[in-house]
Amino acid sequence: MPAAAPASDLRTDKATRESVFALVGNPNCGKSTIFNALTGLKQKVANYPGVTVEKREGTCFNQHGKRIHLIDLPGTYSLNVHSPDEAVVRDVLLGRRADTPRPDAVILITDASNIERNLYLATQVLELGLPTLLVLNMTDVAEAKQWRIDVGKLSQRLGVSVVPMQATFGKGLVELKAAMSKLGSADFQPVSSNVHPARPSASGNELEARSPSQAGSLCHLPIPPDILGGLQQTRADLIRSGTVSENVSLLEPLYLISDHDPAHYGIEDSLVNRLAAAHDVLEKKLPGWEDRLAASRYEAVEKLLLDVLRRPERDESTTTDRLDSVFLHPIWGGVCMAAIMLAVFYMIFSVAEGPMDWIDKITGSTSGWIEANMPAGDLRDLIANGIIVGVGGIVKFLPQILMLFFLIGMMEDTGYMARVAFIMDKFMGRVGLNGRSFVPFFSSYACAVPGIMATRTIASPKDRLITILIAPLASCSARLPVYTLMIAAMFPANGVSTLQKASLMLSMYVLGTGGAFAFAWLFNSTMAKGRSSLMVLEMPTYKRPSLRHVARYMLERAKMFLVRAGTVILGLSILLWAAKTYPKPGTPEPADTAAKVAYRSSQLSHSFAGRAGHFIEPVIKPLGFDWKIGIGLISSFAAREFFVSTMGIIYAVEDDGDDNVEPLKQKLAEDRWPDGRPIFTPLACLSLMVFYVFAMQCLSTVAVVKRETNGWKWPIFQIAYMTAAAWLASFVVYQGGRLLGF
Amino acid sequence: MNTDWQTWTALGVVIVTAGLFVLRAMRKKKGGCSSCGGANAPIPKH
Ligand SMILES: Nc1nc2c(ncn2[C@@H]2O[C@H](COP(=O)(O)OP(=O)(O)OP(=O)(O)O)[C@@H](O)[C@H]2O)c(=O)[nH]1
Ligand SMILES: [Mg+2]
Repeated sequence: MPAAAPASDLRTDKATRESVFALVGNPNCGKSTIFNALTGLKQKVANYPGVTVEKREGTCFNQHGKRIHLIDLPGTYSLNVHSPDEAVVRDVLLGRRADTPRPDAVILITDASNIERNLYLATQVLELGLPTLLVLNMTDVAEAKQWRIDVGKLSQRLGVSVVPMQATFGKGLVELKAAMSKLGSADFQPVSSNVHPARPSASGNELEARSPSQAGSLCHLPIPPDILGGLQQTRADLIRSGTVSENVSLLEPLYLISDHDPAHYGIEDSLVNRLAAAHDVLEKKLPGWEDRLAASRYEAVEKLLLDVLRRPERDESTTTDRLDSVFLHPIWGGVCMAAIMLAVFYMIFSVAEGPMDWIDKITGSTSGWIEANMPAGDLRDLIANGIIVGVGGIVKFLPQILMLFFLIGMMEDTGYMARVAFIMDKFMGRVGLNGRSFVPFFSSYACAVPGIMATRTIASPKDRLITILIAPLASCSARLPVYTLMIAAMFPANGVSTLQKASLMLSMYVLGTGGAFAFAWLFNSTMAKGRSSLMVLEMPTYKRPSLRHVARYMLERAKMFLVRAGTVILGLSILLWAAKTYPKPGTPEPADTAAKVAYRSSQLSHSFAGRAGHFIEPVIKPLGFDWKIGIGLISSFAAREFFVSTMGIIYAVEDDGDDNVEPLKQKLAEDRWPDGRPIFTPLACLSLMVFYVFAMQCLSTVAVVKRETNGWKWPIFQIAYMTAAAWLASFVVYQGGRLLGF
Repeated sequence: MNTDWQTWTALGVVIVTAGLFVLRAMRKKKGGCSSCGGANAPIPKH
């Protein structure tokens, strides 16, 4: 994208098109909550910073029924960007994105309980000179801290309307809409220049330099005069070299040259060097100018707050502090985390068990009914033993998925997830990952795709790449069915407590996490060293989870899960049924029961699927897997949970009269190697679970990695290293277990 | 006769499914793992 944006073209028909408002603010201040409340959309909201990483658009109506185009943006602490998600905010605000018109107005959202840091960004945004409206969100949290903010005075000082809100409770929404209506109307007065009134102009520290053309965009900047001079020089130089167009404001070069890694953010390569050079020139002339500029902004905010904010002498210890003294305790913190995680898996097993059995029964009797009421033939077999078994085998896991996402939603909404991040941060630091890697990594426990997208918050390209590479090692929810089936096959008799099953499941998650850290360390020590950035992890306050919110999150995931079962899994089931049915043997099926069993197993063995399984059997035999498991490994390459369907389809046999359908785990437990040893021994099941902990087995992830890394190199590397790791780990488990006598 | 039409219908279903998969692969990939009960929002156009 050229530095001079084509956005001006998009603005020409301003009178006719709907106005565009952008939501800007610090991370986790409630932007998406407000966006959702205004538009009725369902952007992801969660109680930790870095949730929104791309811009999201929607429409809402102001009080007079006029349409407003609303853009939800990622959170940022500053317009001096360091990471791709922050760059989105800068580029939208400066009108540098070809796909987005420059906003006509900004809704600047601040967290009232963190007002100082939030107003820092406000100083930068107000300077842009766009009509701006300030939302003081989370006033409930500020009140709990006994902070009093004088809204009238703040508004007067900043020269913009200020709307106090409690977005989660919908408080202040009407006032916000009213303020938006005024902001959009024709008689709107541009932001007053009274931004930082507290600075005495006599000090000479402040410059009222306003060249006529920039009068609108340069309010009283707290920019020291020498820096301002330097910036003006930089701007002139950049215009002369053709790096930026002539009509850029003074601030645009300011934010462009402070971007230390422009190549990362879609600026043309040829311009990158010129911007970097301009930065160096300025740095040489005025060493430390960036820090001084930041300091002067903070000073201005502080002076403003002296007048506007009243707070207790000492901040009392809040509920958050008290909870954190346990949850972030060096010892108890870890203990609590382990206990909570174990409880999560316990609930997944115990609560979901009953409903899963019902679904099993329903699929079983449906396919039984079809077999009883349809004449024998291929179509009947396809429906009963392909489609119903395949899709039903996955749908069965819906209760577990619901439970998993309910619990994840609760942890996210309360703010506990951020504490997990804090505890894990120590380990992550040790393996060379920074704090920002945590949110993407943790999101990957739900699904690696959004996790990998969330890596856009990571500034350093190297850290980002490493996080992308290890993200699929977090056990995503698609692994849940595989783990559950294997645990069931391991203990077919009901003698094992739920707690033991839950512990086994938890240990798979721990193994994946440990593996991810080990690989992060490995990559970190072998890859070329990049600029590593320091990042302070911000702890959000604890909040009471909103049940509506969590329920919505859970149902959304459930819907996706079912849609997927009805499309991809359905299609794969049909194809797999074909692969195991064709080519058909020339001879008809014998009537005798024993001969029939032999006939069928030879048929399966000679089918396309069977041949593929036999083909890879030599490679997987040392892991304890036979050719049928081999079919599962191949077919689940597209989507790992399809392994469960595959087993169901392969082991599905038309009943011969007895309507007592055996559960899949029973069939697995009874299967034998040619020499009569059972195939699914506990050790083989464990080996298979470990394989799935490490194996890539997900085409969606491959696609998103390709897109985020711009090419095939890294996704191919990722498939290779993960498959190799999976094989090795399984090998060690299986052969080691055998040596130990299991 | 009965088995005959079943054979052909089943084969037809399989071929149509395969065709749909091929079409899906050829269309610009949208990505997005909705498996996972996918915690993903739709992927932004860049
Ligand atoms: N107590 C309280 N919580 C709020 C309020 N507004 C939002 N929240 C909560 O704050 C958290 C963050 O909200 P989001 O809307 O995801 O914040 P965001 O600014 O979009 O965050 P990023 O996308 O990460 O930058 C969520 O848990 C919300 O439920 C409020 O007025 N009061
Ligand atoms: Mg957000």
